[in-house]
Amino acid sequence: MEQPRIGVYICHCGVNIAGTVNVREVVEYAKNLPNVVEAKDYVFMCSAPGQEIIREDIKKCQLNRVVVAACSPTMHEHTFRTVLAEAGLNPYLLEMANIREHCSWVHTDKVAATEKAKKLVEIAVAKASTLEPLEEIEFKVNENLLIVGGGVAGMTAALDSARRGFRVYLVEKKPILGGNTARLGRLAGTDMRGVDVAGSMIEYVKRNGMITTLTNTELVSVDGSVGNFKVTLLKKPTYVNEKCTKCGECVKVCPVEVPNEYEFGLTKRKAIYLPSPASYASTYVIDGENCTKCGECVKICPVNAINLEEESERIEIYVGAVIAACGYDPYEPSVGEYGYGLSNKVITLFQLNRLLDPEGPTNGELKIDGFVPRSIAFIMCVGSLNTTPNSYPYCSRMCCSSTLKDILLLKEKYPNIDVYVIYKDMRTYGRDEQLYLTACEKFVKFARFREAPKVSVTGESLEVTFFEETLGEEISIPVDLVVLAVGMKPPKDVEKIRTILKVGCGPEGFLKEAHLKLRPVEAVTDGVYLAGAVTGPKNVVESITSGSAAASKAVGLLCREKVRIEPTIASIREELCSGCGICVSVCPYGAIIIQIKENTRSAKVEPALCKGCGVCAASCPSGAAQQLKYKDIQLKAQILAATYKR
Amino acid sequence: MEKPKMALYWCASCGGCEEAVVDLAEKILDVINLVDIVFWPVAVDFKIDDVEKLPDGSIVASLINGGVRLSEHEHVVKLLRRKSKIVVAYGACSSWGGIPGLANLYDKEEILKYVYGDAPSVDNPGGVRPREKHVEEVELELPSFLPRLLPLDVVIDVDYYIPGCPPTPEVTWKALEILLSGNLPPKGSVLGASDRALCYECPLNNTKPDKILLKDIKRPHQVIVDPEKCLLTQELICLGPVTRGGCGALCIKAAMPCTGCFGSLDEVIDYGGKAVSYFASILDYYTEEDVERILDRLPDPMGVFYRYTLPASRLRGKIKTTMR
Amino acid sequence: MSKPVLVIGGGIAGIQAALDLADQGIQVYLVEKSPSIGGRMAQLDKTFPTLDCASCILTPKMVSVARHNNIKLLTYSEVIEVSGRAGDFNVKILKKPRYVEEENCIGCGECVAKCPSRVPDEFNLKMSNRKAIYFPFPQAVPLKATIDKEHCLFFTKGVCRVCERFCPTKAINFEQQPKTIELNVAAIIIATGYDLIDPSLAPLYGYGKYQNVYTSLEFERLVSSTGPTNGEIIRRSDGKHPKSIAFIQCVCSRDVKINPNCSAFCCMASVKEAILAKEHLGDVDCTIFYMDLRAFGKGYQEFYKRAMEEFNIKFIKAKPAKIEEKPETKNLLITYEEQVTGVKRVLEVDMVVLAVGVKPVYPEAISLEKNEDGWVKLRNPYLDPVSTSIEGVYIIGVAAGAKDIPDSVTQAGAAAVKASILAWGGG
Repeated sequence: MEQPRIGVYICHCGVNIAGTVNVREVVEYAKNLPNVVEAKDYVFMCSAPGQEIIREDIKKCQLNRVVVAACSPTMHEHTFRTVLAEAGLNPYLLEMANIREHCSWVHTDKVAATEKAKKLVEIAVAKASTLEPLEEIEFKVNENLLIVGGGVAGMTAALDSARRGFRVYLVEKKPILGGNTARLGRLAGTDMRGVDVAGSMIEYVKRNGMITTLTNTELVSVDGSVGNFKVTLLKKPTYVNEKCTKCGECVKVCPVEVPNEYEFGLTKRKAIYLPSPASYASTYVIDGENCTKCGECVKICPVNAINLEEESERIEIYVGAVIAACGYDPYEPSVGEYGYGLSNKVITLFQLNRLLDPEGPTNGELKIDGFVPRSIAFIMCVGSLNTTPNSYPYCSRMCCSSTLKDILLLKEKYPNIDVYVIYKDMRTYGRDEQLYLTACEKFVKFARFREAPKVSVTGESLEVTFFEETLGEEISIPVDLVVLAVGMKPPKDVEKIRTILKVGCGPEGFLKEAHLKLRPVEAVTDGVYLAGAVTGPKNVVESITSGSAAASKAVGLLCREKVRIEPTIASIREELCSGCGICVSVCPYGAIIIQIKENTRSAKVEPALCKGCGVCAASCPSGAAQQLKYKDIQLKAQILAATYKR
Repeated sequence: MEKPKMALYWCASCGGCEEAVVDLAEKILDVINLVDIVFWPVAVDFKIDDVEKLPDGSIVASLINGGVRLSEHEHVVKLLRRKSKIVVAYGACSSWGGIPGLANLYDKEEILKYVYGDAPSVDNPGGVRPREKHVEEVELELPSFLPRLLPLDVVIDVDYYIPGCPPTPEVTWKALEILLSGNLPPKGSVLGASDRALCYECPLNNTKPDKILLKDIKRPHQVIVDPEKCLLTQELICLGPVTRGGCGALCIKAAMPCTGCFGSLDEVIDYGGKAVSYFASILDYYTEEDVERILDRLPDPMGVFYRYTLPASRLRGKIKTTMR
Repeated sequence: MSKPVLVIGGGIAGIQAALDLADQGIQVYLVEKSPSIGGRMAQLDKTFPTLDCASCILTPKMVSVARHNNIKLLTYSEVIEVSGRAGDFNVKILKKPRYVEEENCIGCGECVAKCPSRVPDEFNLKMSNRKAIYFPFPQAVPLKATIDKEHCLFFTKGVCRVCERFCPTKAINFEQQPKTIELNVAAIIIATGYDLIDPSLAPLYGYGKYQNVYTSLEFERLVSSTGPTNGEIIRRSDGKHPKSIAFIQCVCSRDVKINPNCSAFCCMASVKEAILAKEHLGDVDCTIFYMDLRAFGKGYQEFYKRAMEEFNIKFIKAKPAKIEEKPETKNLLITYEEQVTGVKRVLEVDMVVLAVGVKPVYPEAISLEKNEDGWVKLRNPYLDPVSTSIEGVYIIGVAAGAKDIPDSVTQAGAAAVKASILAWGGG
């Protein structure tokens, strides 16, 4: 190996580093470290002039290794690698010392922090001396896109990507597209209902030749990596084919009755049913879980559209990118939580939406047991803000505006109903504030709770009791109906999706963005994007917007001919490998195979699948598997530097 | 023409390595034809004085087996170093300490107390202990017992290593061929053995499944071993994957798991550490209780994973500094 | 082949839209009226709820814009005329003279060091001075000097030209003329952002009258290490560290007389600023006066909780009735009605920070249909959430409605894919 010539560049990061670390002292220290030929500091190393200093020095001082002591490599390693590349050096001859997150931000003792920064720089210099040039690996990108979830976010992503010219597989586990939005009734700020928005999207999806829709289909596995995923799907039977004329004879004879999830359990349905009452459901379907296969429907069907022998079908597709748009589940209060389940006069906001929908179970009449309630209490933050032991800590964002929108609809139709909103904080952000103003003008009464209100159900009467903050006393309001403004929770199969797609999730269970602020629709896993409420509560417009945004990212990947992956992955030296197979046993990504040549075995890494986790390198008993850029000798150099007393 | 001179010496060892040289059988005659043996206490009657009289560097190669445990060992190996062009650590004990090196888990006093007192087979009512000086009629000086056993290369500069407990005749012969060929590999090389782990030459390597994940571990006396199936997959702790090959998988062929006497491969920094790391990674356990249970199944982890290499390892042993 | 797309406004929304489009292989013209891209986010210190340093996450994006082969950056430029229709817009852009040749300027700053003329610095909201030839901030992109003609001694008095003498690359050109650039683009994305509403419209808070009353944006500059005080939180009146700070929410927001809308991000911005004040000063009481604490985004409620529990920040649900200054100390007396008791109370603090509401900024050359409240009317908020009344013209970021950074970035992606479809002749 050539004699290392290292340049060390120490960033002030404004006062982020320089406020705690004596940068000049670190520079002087670095100058005396082995193989260091230049050491400099600058106020913002990442800025254009900072980068220029490094580029210039590489040429002027014939540097062949660079150490940047600044922030976390997740922040700027890429930036500085680009600088090396631009100056003609292999970008992997860069080593970063994190003297911000690992030093200045977490220490207050300036002298000790400076000493630590010196040590971190020394360690980085020792590592830099052992760095080898690495070449990025390129793969061809498959142009197809998989979208998991056929709600408005998924459909929007599908439409935008297809209109931009890419083949889309739109996979929905339910028998019909439309997601939760289809059931929401009238939406805020428009005359449209959720079903109108979802319905027109479904029409566009149907008409678009670039979209292949797979309903009643579940994701089984996703193998491969960015640009080249192999996807296995399981299409479940609906037992009814397209000959169905929706005559409804089958429903009359079906003996099985179950709660209708489309109506949030307000009504019942049969095992053979129309998955949505709206016009966009094209055929009846049989719910395989509840069907007893009695065969009555088959006998009565006048067009022979039913086949109870239909089987599941495994489908394999190849795509370059995946968008997860699996939505959310409405929070379902447990029995007794605010009286829910104890009386049919305690309903959720989602159920109210169904009752107000002209296509809902009451054709839009708000009637409970045949009567229009004279007074309604809306209790906010149900399932959110830790109001009850079962609830989630976060704010569900859409419930305040959604509730007020429903109240205004109610007030239009039934101006004489007394409406109480019992809330904690009214979060009608942005222009939705106007809903709040209008509600106040309509004499909706707002009351503020501190602790979760109690709903007491005695026979036919309901009473909501709570400590009202403005009045400063406990009050009870007798009402005819209680509506629980329930929030959103992670979809129930989120854990499965997360495992299959190898994406992270936050403590609350929603999928995690690559960066909360600046990469809100990208997963940490390359080639996987996130749309809609699967990353956290969103209203309809926000979900649709994020669907488009995810499409934008996916298209950005799919339109590239090739994708590059970082070469900091595992590598196995065949001449040292005994083919013992330990690495194969431990690799979590299935990225290592045993190849047999002339009856001897040796292991081989599949670069496209390797994520560079290093497990094989740690376990390889021969030292044949090494993690590039983190080889044993490189780590050893770091440890020796760390423990060396100057 | 004068034949090249060669010396053999034993330090703290069991004698197996000496036996291994003799096991060359008729090939020993070829050796005698090729070299003059100038020192070999176990077989030839030369004294240390004779060695001291030789000019420095006049011995072509010295093969030293056993670790350095006594002051005498230290004295002789330093002498041989001075007189030899090449010094070879012969066998596991000399290379890394070997089984006697496990004594480094105890300090000198603990060892003496056990060996001359507490051991069940000892009958020593007077509590007699060896003494370094004995004065009765004349003053006798006995070699002193060093605080710990040292691998040869800690005491003197070592040029090559021949692994094994003991090295097999094949390995010994191959190593001698290399030494006598004059075509010497880089200093520090291991002679006569393989560059890959034992699995590579193991006849059972192809019987492994895709993934090896162990639910339990067993000791050889607890199972009836299927000799046609990889021993590791039979839940025996076989150290074949982490051990240098070259022995011809002798133990495996006798249905015994590899215990690691050929030591680690070139790229491995610490044999025992690597052995633990590899073995732990294929245990299919997740909970704390599982870990406790597996540790109960391993009464002597040091003896399993560091059987031959403790003194040369990063751990070195457990020498207490305070003595009572 | 695809047609180019125009992005107007170089804040985080415009930057992200431009990058998304460029990554999709589309030629982008990014027009920014000020000398550097970066927008409002560049003025922020840290961002909620992660407390990421704004510069640290924004600067790499700005650098990427400058480096991207598919992005043509037109700073110090304004769109003056737009005609045509979706897929075929003709756009005229006026490139204002910097009086510095961009190709020659290397951003060394020699000119700035030597310039004798001091001017209030807009980037620091006039809390410090810059020179008449200047970079708006150290990480400006492009890092090209600009001469502010109104304050340059040569332009005002005909003397000086010191910058020209010291410039090592002969980049200064006092003869430089405005330039008109004509483009044909398939789509236009408006990302022109916002201004704070003038807080003097709500005189009861005393902004402009009392020295120690700040806007939240001023406070951001005050805590920023690149700000006028290098990150020292000190009072305008006496340069001392405040021992108590009150943050007042909904100034010029949720106020039917001035602006009925909620400005969406101020609650969280104030919570963050209070945390930063605690981090910077340690020994300081922070009180937030709020109407409703709108912690609605991901991780926001948790952040709010942290502010209360970990940082001991006090939250009072009240809208102050008035603020007065104690003349001898320049401390501020906040009069408010305690919600629970209804009792009138007065809180004395050393510093007041007003979370001032926002108003949109729109390009004059494009006449967008607006709502009664002055904000843009979206053509079809559900089926095309970033569409304006003009087909092929999209609007994102705060210009499309008050919102936080993640939502602005999301909209940017959405507009990018819509524009990209048009650029490839689809739609």
